[in-house]
Amino acid sequence: MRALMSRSRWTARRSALLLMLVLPPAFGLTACGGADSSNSITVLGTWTGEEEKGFLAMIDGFEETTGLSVTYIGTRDADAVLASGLKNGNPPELAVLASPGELREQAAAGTLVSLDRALDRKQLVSDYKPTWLDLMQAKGPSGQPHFYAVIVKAALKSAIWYSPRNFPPPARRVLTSPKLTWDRLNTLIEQLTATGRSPWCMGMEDTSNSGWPATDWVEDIVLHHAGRDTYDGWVAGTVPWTSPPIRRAWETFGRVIRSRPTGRGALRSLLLTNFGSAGQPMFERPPGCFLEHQGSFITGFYARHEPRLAAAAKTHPQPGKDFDFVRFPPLSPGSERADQVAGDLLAMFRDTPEARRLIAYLATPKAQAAWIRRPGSTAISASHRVPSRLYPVAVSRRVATALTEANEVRFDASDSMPPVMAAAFSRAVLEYVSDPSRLNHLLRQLDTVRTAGAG
Amino acid sequence: MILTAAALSFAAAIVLTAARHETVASVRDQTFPAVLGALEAHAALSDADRAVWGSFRSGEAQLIGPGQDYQDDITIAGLALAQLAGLQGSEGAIGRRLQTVNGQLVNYQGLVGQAAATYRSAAAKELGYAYLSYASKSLRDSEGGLLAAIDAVAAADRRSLAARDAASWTNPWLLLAYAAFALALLASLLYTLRFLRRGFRRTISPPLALATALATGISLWLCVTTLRSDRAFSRAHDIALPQLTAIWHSQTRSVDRQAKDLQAGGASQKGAATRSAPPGRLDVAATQTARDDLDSTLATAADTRGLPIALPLAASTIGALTFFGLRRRLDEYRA
Repeated sequence: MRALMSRSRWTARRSALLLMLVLPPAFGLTACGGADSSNSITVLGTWTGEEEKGFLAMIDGFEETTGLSVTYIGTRDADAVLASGLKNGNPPELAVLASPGELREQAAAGTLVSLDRALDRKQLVSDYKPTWLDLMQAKGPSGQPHFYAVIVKAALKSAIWYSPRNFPPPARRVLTSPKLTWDRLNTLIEQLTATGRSPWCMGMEDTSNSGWPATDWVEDIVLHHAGRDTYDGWVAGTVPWTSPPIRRAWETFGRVIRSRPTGRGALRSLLLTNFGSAGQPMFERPPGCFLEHQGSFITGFYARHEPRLAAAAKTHPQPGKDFDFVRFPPLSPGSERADQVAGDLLAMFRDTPEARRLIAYLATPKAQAAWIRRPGSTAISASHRVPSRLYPVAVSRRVATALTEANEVRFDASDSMPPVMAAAFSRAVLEYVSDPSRLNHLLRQLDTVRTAGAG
Repeated sequence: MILTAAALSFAAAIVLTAARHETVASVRDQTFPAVLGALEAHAALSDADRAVWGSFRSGEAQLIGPGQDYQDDITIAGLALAQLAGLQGSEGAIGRRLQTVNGQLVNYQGLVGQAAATYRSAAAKELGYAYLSYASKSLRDSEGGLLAAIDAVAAADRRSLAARDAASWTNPWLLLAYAAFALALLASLLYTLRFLRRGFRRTISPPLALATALATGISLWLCVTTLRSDRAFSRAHDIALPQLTAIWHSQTRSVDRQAKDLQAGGASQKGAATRSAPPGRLDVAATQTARDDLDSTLATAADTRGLPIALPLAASTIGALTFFGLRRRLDEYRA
């Protein structure tokens, strides 16, 4: 335990006390100020580890130029912590919201502070495409739309990751072909399964948010197999969970799970493996799995894998050589294309001049560039004003191009649903993973939640 | 000159005594409780995790859910965190961190509740264990987990409060001022005694000699009391607190090991895991003994031994004796 006061300081003081009637004390002690200051801003977010360091690098410039102090609290359970703070009437000034669904709910409830005064609308329109601007807005208590959040960091979710170094060359040609379809991918999966190894890397654990890797799977299948209209209707709650396209998506995901090893141990591993380490076997020699369906932020976790596991390279996995991605394939060559995206929405819960200054700063391409250009950074900006040359690696540049130039993107479905629906989806998908025979029951339950929410 | 030196030296002594008392009281009532509250909350939550895993592995969760030990531990942790919040308030960086901790605690309890509810369904035992693992992860994650957040609060507490505690008693100017004024008083008294003895060819003036003896005595008293308090404070700081901390850490490590063993046991090793795990939980008696020792040491450190009353009395007496001692000589001189 760190000493309250150092031993040497105590010794000096005792000596001084003995001498104080004879000789003037010769030691100098200075009092320090407390940790708190009135001009500090608290930010609650989900970024931990390298992501936290990236965010802190982003706010360094703000603290230097303004003299204000920012306290960042990072936890994977930020949404639960925020809910608790809101119930106690004491939220932080700024917090990362789990989803646009939550943004809409909080804005309508009047919990959020409109950013119209804090942000320069003209500048925003110049910096972000309409798709992203829409995600930053919601209807307030009066029913009028306002800016309520800024997207600090974005991600491409319709991505399938593989290891070029470990992927069999003939199969790699099929995988990276522009003509890749879901059926061709399935043929490839069957060939990989025949090798006796798991084709898909998968892990469901993310503490209180566990299950989202599976919801992402179902969502991408719905988007790419049933199309944008069905996807939009499903997100809006007008397409039932028990409807054929949604049921088919679940069943398709069920086949993905069954392509992996089965049995109690495999199930336990699937449920308990953290999403961040699920792709680790991809870099082993021989690889424990070949493909991973994950958002672009996963590269940050790949880069942290221990060198001993990256047996082929003897270093941490390198982008381009050890990991690369292809976009989630359409059902058929003529199918409409759209990508699923996600973003970290930073919203304001307590209106202070300092918080307004910080959120305005974080919306700027300059601030976002500070995170992006960090060595090893995997952050992607939703702003097309951030030059692609700032991204440290080609893989990130490709992701950024896909995000900022795509015209047809859809935000993560579960993130866009009302929070209660999203939570039920995550729970249901975990139950489905542990017992696929319960699909009918689970879909009916999800429809019950959907209709209760609509009522 | 004598009166001024007496007034200043005793004013400095009173400020010094009050500052010391304030520091000891602050450490006793705020610093140590904050540090210990965080330790206690950490230990209780570690034990809660052990208890709930024990309940699942033994099958008790089927009927009683997470179990009584778990509930008790959560209550203890909640009280410790409430105490911490009371010491810190809700504003400021530490207050905000505590709110985060409370939110994480609610989240942990929610996951345990979900685990227990799922576990009761015979068909979803494995998923019940998965939820419990998620709960443990949310508790123990080194990056932003609940225990890490409590440790961060404790570290911030120690930094903030130690800085505040160091500010008053250890102020070198205060000690220097007291030493200078006390030396000036004694020098003035001795000089006056010598001057009167030479000037009036008399023996020592009894009131002034008494004033000098009193000034020396009260300074020694202050010195002895301060050293005694300092020793007690050092003991509390260097021995009693580390001992208590070591007991908490040892117990926390023990229940952490048990929780890890129980978690690694797997559903199929239900009985074996239970048998291999020691029955222990937190030993409240051991921590209470060490806590009592710390409290009594701090009580000794806080004891001013009547100095707040003795100092003004002594100052007044010295002033009066000096006045009478000098007036008799002045009357003689005028006559």
